[in-house]
Amino acid sequence: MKNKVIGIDLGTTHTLASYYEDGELKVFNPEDPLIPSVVSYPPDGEPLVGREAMEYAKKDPENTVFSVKRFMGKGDDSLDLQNHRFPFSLHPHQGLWQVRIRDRWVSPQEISAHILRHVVHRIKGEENETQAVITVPAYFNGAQRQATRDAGKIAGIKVIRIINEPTAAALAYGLHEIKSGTIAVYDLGGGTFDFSLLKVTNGVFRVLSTHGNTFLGGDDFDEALMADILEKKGLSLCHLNHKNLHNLRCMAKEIKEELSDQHKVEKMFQLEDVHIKAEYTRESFDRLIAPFIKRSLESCRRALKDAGKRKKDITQVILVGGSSRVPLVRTMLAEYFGKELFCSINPDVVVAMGAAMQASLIEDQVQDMLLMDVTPLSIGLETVGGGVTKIIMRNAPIPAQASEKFTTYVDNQTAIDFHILQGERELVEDNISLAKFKLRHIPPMAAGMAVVNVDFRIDADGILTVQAKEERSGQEAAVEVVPSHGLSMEHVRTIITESILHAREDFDHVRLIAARTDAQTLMMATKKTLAQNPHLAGDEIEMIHSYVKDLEDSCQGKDIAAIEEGLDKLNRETTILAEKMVSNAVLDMVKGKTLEEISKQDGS
Amino acid sequence: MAAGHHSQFNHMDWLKGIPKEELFLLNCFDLFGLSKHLNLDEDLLENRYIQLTQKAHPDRNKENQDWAMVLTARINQAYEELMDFRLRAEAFFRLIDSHMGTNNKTMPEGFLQKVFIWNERQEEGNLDFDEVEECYDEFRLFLINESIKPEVDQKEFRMKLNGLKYLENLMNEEDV
Repeated sequence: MKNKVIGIDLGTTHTLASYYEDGELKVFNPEDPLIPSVVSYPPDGEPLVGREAMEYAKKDPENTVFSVKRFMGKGDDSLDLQNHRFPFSLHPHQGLWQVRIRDRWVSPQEISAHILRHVVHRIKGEENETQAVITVPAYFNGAQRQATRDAGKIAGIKVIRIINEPTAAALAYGLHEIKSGTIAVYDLGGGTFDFSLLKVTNGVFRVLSTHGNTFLGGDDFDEALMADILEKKGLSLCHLNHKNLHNLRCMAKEIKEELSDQHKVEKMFQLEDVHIKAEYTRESFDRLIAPFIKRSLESCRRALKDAGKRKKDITQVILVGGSSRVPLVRTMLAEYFGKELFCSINPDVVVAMGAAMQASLIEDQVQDMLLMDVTPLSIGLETVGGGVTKIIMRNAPIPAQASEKFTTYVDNQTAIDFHILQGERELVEDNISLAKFKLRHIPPMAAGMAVVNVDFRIDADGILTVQAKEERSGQEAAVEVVPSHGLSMEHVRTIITESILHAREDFDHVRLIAARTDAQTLMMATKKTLAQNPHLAGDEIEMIHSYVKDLEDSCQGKDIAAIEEGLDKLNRETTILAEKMVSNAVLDMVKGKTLEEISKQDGS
Repeated sequence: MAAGHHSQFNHMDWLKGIPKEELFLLNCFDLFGLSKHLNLDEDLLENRYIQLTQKAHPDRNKENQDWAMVLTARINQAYEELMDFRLRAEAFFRLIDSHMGTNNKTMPEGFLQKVFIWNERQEEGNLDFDEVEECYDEFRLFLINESIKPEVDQKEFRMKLNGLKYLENLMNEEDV
């Protein structure tokens, strides 16, 4: 188990790993493969992960984090936490949801990294460099995928591919059981739901469409049960403290699981000194959870529509995720599709096994299969007035590439702002903001003259890069996309090296170079304009020359603020200059004409 | 470029000789080695799509990742283009167009009046979608037949193709 690439299912409730060996998929630690995705932070010493963390949570729930996947890559404006009571303290910090552990902030990426590191150390020991394929819900957006990748990086893992969980599940079944045709994968986990349609032809697994819900899963069943138990006593979830909530949650999970093979379950819940009896039959439980399953079927309907398929076109239905064990889920699905359900592989481990299969496909150990994925959400750019132009459409096969041409809006504009969005809605505010970037150093020219080609590329991991190039001048300006809801590259580096100082220096260095280049561009353009335009008054030219001189001087030094200030001054002054040039040109036109003649001219 | 006559193996070799920068300039018919008309055998296209992707995908081209990524992206894009009838017709028109350009917005005679009435009926909730579909099929058939002729009536082709977009929009309303 030294150099194998492993597959990791980094789940909302459980995490597990698998690998491909001797022509077979193997789960790590098969007797007990599921590691709870829980991390505890004791006051001293290393963080605890998994069962140990669960144990620790009983005495210190405030410093124990679970369901971290729910807020991976979520910006402070994109997460509604109203309905999710976490015992730990979750707050927006520096544009991200982060957990406050005593006196420090811990990002979702770091928490996930603790889980990943724990999993990898159990398999490989501390020495070996690890390569892994990590799975994410198909419905994850670019920022969430990037956050997952960053978590791997922080954990010291080389992430060779991010793949969608439902696709992984189908791969795990392999070519022995999957026939050519259209496959539906229904994945109901603890916290997220995904539904995907795949077309399989001669070993090529092609994703046709995918739909899902990042806030739907078995946890909802638990919460519905918890609320119902309390309601019978006239109580609600908000009356309970963290410790009682934790205990009630554990009991609700037990009831749910036991009802999968028993018809009736009875439990006692001790709330301080009150005993509450919880008695459920399968029917009474089914009534509580049916609305959630109906919502999942709505996603199925939409995925079918997107793929242009009907229910009768589906040849096989694969079940994934622990919650697909719930009998009502199976009954409602079988009824909906009218097909036999595939569940011969344990739905808890099937995704990790598929990830290991994909790892071996990339590593050339298995040659007769190929996975072709799609991008789950459309990608576009903000347009004037808060609208969105879609560049790559939802469910487009990846890798994908598309480009769009843009131009400048005002005369002598030297920069264009781009705002990259992900989602299906028409307005910017309704979509996910993925990144913002600026294309600088456009040579000054009249509005509409610049031709900026913006290239969108989604690689085989579903991760997006965008490049912009001004074509008329032949000048290429590269841009880097920093996910606005992920950690910036600097941030990731900071965590890895745990040296804030170095990252700060790097960042300043980048800023210094950017400021200097901006200054050079502007100074050159200004000098050129001055040389060509004799209209300007001597004192104005002198003033501008002095600003150029000042800016030249500050560019010699390393004081970023000074350069930026000089840049600002010169920019302001040259804008006035541009206006003057325009009015001088108008003066030329109207010279020697009467007011009457001019107004006639205007009117024509 | 007689790409249509190449066997699949040779076809891939031919693609391999095309520089990365030019892959997106290649028209979608040549890319899959298909003859240039609208009467597309969708099964044949799907077969070629899968065969090509199996060879072109970055996972199968370790030593030439960047080229493989661009080629696969182009194959994906061209496949989507060909599978959609209107986009396929637009791609075909770009190949034969000698003077009209894609910005030409002319419509078949009497068509706009028809669309106007349909729109009104749709707002009243009594639009007969079969009638719209019938018109769509008529246009579609015309475009396919025209595309096989040695001399395409470009003016009529452009107008009917412009009309398709209106009809598609109307038919999409039915799903809402």
